[in-house]
Amino acid sequence: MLNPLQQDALKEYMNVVIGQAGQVLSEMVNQKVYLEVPDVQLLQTRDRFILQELVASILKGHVVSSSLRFGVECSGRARLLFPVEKGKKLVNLMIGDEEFSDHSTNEAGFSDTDTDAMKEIGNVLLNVIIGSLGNLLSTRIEYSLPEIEFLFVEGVRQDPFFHPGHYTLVLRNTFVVGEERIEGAIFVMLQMDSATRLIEKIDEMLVDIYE
Amino acid sequence: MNELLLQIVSQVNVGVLILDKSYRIAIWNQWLTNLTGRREEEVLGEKLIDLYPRFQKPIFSSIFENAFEAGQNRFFSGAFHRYFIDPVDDLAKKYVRQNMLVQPLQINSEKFIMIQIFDITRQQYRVDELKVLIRELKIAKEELEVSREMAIVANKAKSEFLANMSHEIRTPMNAIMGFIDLTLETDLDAEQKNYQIMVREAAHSLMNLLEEILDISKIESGQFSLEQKPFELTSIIKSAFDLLSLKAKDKGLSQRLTIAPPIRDQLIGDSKRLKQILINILSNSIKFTPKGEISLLVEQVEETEESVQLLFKISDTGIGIAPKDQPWVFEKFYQVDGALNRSYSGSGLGLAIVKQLIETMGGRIWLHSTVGQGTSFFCQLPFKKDKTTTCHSIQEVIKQEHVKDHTFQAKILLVDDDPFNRKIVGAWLKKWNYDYQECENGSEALVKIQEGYYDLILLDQQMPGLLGTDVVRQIRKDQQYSTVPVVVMTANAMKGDRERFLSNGMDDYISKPFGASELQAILKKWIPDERTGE
Repeated sequence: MLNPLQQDALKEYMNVVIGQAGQVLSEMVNQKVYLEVPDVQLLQTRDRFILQELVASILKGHVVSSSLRFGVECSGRARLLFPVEKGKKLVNLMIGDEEFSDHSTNEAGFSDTDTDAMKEIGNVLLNVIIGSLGNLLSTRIEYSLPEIEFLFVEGVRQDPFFHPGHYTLVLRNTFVVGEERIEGAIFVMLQMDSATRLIEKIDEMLVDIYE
Repeated sequence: MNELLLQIVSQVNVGVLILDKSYRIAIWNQWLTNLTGRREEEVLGEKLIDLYPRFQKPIFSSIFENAFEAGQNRFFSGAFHRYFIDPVDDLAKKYVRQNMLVQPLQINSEKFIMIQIFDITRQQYRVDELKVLIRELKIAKEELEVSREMAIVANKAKSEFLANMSHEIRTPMNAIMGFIDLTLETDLDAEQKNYQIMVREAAHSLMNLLEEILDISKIESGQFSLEQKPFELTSIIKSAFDLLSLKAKDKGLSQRLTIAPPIRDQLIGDSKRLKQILINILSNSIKFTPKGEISLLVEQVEETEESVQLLFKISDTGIGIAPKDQPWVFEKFYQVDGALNRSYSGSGLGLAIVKQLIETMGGRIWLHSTVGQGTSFFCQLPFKKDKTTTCHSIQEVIKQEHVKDHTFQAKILLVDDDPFNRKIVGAWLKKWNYDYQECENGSEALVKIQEGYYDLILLDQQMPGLLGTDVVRQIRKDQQYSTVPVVVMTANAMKGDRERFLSNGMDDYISKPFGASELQAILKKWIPDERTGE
């Protein structure tokens, strides 16, 4: 969908955006939280296999999803996703409850407090990403309240992440807290016109760079 | 309608406050009054940051701006922020936890922010309680793991100790049993003979117990291995059955042996252990059957290209086992009740060994029993088919065992540092008219071998100076003595010992303590007929 140049430009933009979210999170938990985006892709229905590969590599099995819906001129849904045990580990690291951060999968059950914490982390990150997309597309956006879902991701069905007729902006992201690196993914489902405008904006950025 | 909505906001069970564009409080509901002790009229029109300075922090102020400017919602969790609106009770500040939700509102062109406060103190309390439980569980799990490891180590140490002790006990037992046999061969009056027979029986019981302890400790310490050798099934079954028929006859019990055809007779497996299993179960049945019948039924229940499954059913008309006791009969040191334990002797190890042996051999054992009517033990065991040979070797041994007494003149060298053992073995050799010489260590033996030819060397392994294996190594170096049969006599009876001795140049192995008949079998095996001068 994106050529290498567009992909690099979007990746750079997203790293700046997500860096802001890292700052907010750092202030919130009084410790350094770095966020990295090593990979950005804009996929459509025919790229389903790429998404399947990605899901198989980092999001197989039980997954925790913190999500936001957004609408008006640019509409869709954004999700921050982690395998449950990694999500639990991230929450424990950020709450400073490291004693409980090495639990095996079976014991990785989220308590109500953990769920609240994950809701806030997702809220911070997705607000920044959606807000920046709104800025980039110079459009007004309405946000829903954040939601937490626990999903089971099978090998072939990725419906929660891919809607027919939508484009999916896929950001692999890594939280760096202390010495730990926690990998997750952000999926932003965009309607076709929003995606097309996003590509146009990326091209404008590229023109600015090369002029 | 407005009145109604205001009442709802006032009564709703969460904290609701509304800020106008200049961050002044426009609505403050009853829930917040209850929490803070501040009445609505006291706070309306006040700036939130003046009442609660924490909201001046950038983390909050930027959110309010975003809500007004970008219409963003924001959820704040008590997990990170503890609380947002202070409770009136200072003591409660220590425990209280709140979530906060910030949402933009717009009426016509006028913008507001709605802040909802949720009390999650009880939720947090439950989570903390759960964490304490998880922590305790974790510690208990670790302690359990340590205890388990310690138990394994202790059990292994116990098994090793038993195995070592059995070696130490075997040596003097060999002397005791040997001298009893020798004494019984002398002229004794009836009373003396009777006493000696009783001593012999007691010594045999002690040896049986020792063998059982050794078996169980070998199995438990993982030093147990099975032989895979060809054998003839019917002869093993018959010999086990015959061995116990005298005991059954003494108790007046009738006996029945049925080997149901078709059955494969030439098999490969551990016939010694099969015999041990049958003897153990049969003797157990005889022990607990005061009158009636003991029977053994053998049938082949499955046959494949390579193997067969055999079912052995040992039935008696004995006292039976109550259903509540049945699960325990295969436990170590268990007999159905203490009173029985005294009227029926035994260590309670027999069936435990049987079960472990059967399981090690890949089979299973179970039982049916009715109190007062009797018990049937079933054991199913797999054996490989022996497709290559018939049982020539067995027949040959039997043939040799039937050779009549010889008169002389094979020459035997007896090497053992234990004077008791030399005396016992020497006495038997003398009695059977063998020409023998004895010496008490390896060096002396090597000198004697240089001086004259021997038809057989009986050699102890554990001697001061040269070990038995050292002596054999020296002997085998000389071409002249390379074929002299050497039989090692040893109290080492652990896994692999036999193979170790044979690979070190020994020809055979006899385990101490041994009886006269075992010694005789060895002599007949290694001293050919033509040399006996008959």
